[in-house]
Amino acid sequence: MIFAEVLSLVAKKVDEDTTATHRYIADSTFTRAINRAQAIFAFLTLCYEKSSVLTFTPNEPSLEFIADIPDFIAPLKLSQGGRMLNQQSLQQIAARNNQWTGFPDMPKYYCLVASNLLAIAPPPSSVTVAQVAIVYAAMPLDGALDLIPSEDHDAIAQGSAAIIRQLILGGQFGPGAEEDLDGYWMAIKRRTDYVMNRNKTARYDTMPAGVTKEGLKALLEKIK
Amino acid sequence: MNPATLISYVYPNLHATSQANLGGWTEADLYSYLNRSVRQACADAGFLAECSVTAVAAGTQVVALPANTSAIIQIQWNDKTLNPRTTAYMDARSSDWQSAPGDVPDAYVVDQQGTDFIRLHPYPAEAGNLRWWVRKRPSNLTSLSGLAIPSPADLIAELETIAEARRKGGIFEMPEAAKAAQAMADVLKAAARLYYGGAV
Repeated sequence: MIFAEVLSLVAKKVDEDTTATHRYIADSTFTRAINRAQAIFAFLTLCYEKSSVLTFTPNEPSLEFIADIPDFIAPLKLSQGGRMLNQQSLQQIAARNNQWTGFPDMPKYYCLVASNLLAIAPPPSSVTVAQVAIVYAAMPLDGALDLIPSEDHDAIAQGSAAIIRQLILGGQFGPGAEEDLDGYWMAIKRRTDYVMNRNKTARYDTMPAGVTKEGLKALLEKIK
Repeated sequence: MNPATLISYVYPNLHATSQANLGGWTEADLYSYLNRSVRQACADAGFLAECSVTAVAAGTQVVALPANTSAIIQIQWNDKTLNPRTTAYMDARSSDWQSAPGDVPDAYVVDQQGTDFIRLHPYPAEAGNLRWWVRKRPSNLTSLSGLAIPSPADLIAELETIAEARRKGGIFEMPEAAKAAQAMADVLKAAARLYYGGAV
């Protein structure tokens, strides 16, 4: 489904005209709602996967990488020279060698210290071993709906309609969002289950947060 | 994160097109909601961290933590990982530990809040370097200051700014909208804790 089709679907769902000239709600508001629904979907399911190369500085154990990969959500796999790096906490890395930053070598472990900072251990000993390949879950760019599986586009439309009803229109329009919201969260749960199996098979390091059955029930109760 | 763009995304949710017709809020209100949300998200979910090095002179006992530290993850003295200790632990081991002679530090003791300074133990007899791995609190965001942070933080901040604005009492209050926006933000914050909170 292309973006314009989803926008038209969302307009219908909130009882708006499908042609922009007759709408009470501005096109930019529809677009933002769709982008929000798409971003929440990608963040919770980790369904969109990308790869890149990160260049560390030799002898340096850390890298602030957001400028290199601004669409980063979570690391799935890091490797150096075709060899996978094991994900560890900084405490685990220090437990193996409490002087881990002092002995540069071929990197074997990595740690996502926070959403903006990666550490590798041992620190790379040369420019050659400082190139680390990363496979990561990415956030689709605004408007890039084709990066979300097409079978989930209806759910994105449902999520967008619910966002417009609940966050913008409110009042008597809010309760009408429940069914759409239910469909959206269920699609997130289905996609999460799929990605979870995919990540297990690929031996990826991060599993999607998604929403559990209990979490979903609690969430829907909270929103109603 | 571009705060000005984020605030412009919030306007339609408040039935405004710009700062000029915001109604019950000022732009400063929205920036204050945004800043509160980003600070809390960084503290709860570990969005922001820093690795930096400070040179320390021989005989220094107390060292200030890097500015805007919200939590310590790990500290190293000349590449050796220091053990975290509390004052109570040190007092139980030895009542005069603060007057112990200088040597190579193997532990650090945090101040009461753990975010202002550390005391090195034993204090360094020779000069050296401290490498800090700390979680950071973001500086106050304005229309002119951005923040290098992944986009999920933008999403949380946007939703929480809407929630906070719609919680404001008076004719502009929309409790259901506030509740819905907060519930979505809470789900995202729980996911962020799972993805980014594992380093500590």
